[in-house]
Amino acid sequence: MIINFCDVLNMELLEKGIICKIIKKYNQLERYYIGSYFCSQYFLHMDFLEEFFSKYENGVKSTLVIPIFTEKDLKKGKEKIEEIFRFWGNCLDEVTVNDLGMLFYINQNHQNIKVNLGRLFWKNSRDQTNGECHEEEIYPTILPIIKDFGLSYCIKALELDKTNNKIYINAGVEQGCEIRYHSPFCYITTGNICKFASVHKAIEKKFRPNCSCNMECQNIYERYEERYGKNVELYRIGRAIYLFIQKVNINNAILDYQSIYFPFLELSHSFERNVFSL
Amino acid sequence: MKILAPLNDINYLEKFIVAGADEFYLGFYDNSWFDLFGKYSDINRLSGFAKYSNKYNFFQMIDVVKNIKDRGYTVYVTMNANTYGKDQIDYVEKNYLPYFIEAGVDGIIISDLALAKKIRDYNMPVIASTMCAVYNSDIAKVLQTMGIERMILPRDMSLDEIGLICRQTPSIEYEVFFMRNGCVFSDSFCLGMHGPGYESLCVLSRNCMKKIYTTCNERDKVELNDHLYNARFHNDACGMCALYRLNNMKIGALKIVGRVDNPDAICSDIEVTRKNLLLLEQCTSESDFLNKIQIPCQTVKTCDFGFSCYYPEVRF
Repeated sequence: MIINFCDVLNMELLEKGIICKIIKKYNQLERYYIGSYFCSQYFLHMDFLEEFFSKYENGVKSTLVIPIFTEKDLKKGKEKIEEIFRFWGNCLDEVTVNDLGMLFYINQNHQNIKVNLGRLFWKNSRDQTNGECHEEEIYPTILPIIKDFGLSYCIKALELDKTNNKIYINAGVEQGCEIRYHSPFCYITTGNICKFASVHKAIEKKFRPNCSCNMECQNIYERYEERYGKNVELYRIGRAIYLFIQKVNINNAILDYQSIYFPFLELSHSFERNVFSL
Repeated sequence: MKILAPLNDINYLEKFIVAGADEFYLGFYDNSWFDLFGKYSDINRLSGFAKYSNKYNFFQMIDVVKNIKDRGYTVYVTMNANTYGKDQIDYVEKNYLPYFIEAGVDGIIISDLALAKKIRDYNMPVIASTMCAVYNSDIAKVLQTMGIERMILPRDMSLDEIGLICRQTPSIEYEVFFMRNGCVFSDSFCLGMHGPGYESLCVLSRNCMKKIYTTCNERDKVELNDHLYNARFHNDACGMCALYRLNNMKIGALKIVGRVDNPDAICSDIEVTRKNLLLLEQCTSESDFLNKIQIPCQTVKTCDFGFSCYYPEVRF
């Protein structure tokens, strides 16, 4: 079992014992995912690593997930990565990257670290309101590109979202490469303009790309419920919108896979929240 | 800086040229492609809108390209669907590339790096679409090693960041979004389906019934934020006030977005952009330029608070 704490883990959850309850629920826990897929602000301001690793490391390895940094955060992002490796490198044995630039950086500076290709590398369309699901053969065309760059050897796993009822991965995948699927939330869109980060901004300063914030996303989320009479199970969590998929059968023609579980609903139900409909 | 305009109707080519456009981009449809690969296999990002956004079939598009080239102008073809399978890339190589080369297409706007590599094998230039997510100079440099020398920067970037990337990678030609059709998400990572029968995520997220869950006690702030995001933000978009700074950054091309938009409105945007570029040559400072700038008529009344600005930091 892999538990994904990306974009949601914070000091308050640790101090209130909520993380402890979630971890205790799952036997055979083999890995944590820490970091962010979607937000450089979250990644740069992670202040809970000491607390988390000191309490929960216990022989369970962690994967550092690195978002795509925009130019202004690129240098700071790399400094943060180096700081994390310096202090907690013994807890981390792999990283997940979401862009080619970071793949090159990690390969050049941490050659002993295995790298996963994160969910942002895969761009097959996802239907959100139409109930029709379709079979689609996923051919990861980025892999030959990475092979041309001579970096295939450092790729440990491909991380995918469950975008269809059936997903086939053909022989384009290198021997020994793992497949990991995110569950039960499938990301369908994201961007650098964070709606929640603007809650406390003056009107004329709202909705700027990758702006500074007070981590409002840790205290707000949205659930989209109904459109044209149809149920829509969409969630806005941080910068991303996800489709909640409870049951998807994965038919993988070639390879076994592992699930990366995102316990967002358990985390969110731990807090008493104001709820209002709009 | 060049003005890059979408062309979805050959009858507007002359008007766009007179208005001041320097370059053109267009897409196409191909029923054989959909017969072979299925209705969900896009040729470009707007395939879901069928002939509304891609008026011409492949061979008609090639004729349009030849028309543009005969006039001495630059033309790009978009092949920027989310992703392409290996069979589709092979299809492009066999069925499209020879005609692109023969017609003199100046470059293919791509999203998929495997497709880019295939096109580059024939020495045809490729332009990295905003779908390539060139958010920083590291990414730009990797793409440059693949022979990609022109890149479209994402919409959700600030002017400062655009300037930083330009300084870090001066040998790359950059294109920026300039007029029309703002987007609340990242083109690169917005993976909902676009087209009839599917409501785009940006529209759905604004109009859907929803519940907001919060531990924050400031309901009024949360509601106001939600209202402004839904009702006001990026209903349209304009970057005109940023022209001075973009020029200083040596941006290569200004993209007017909107292959599905009213061509008369696009023509008007080309005209006002050309007028402001001429004005720029006479201005000695940004404040001088901003005092004299001609604002596009459809955005004058939406200029408040920067909600319709591609680069609101200039005025706000």
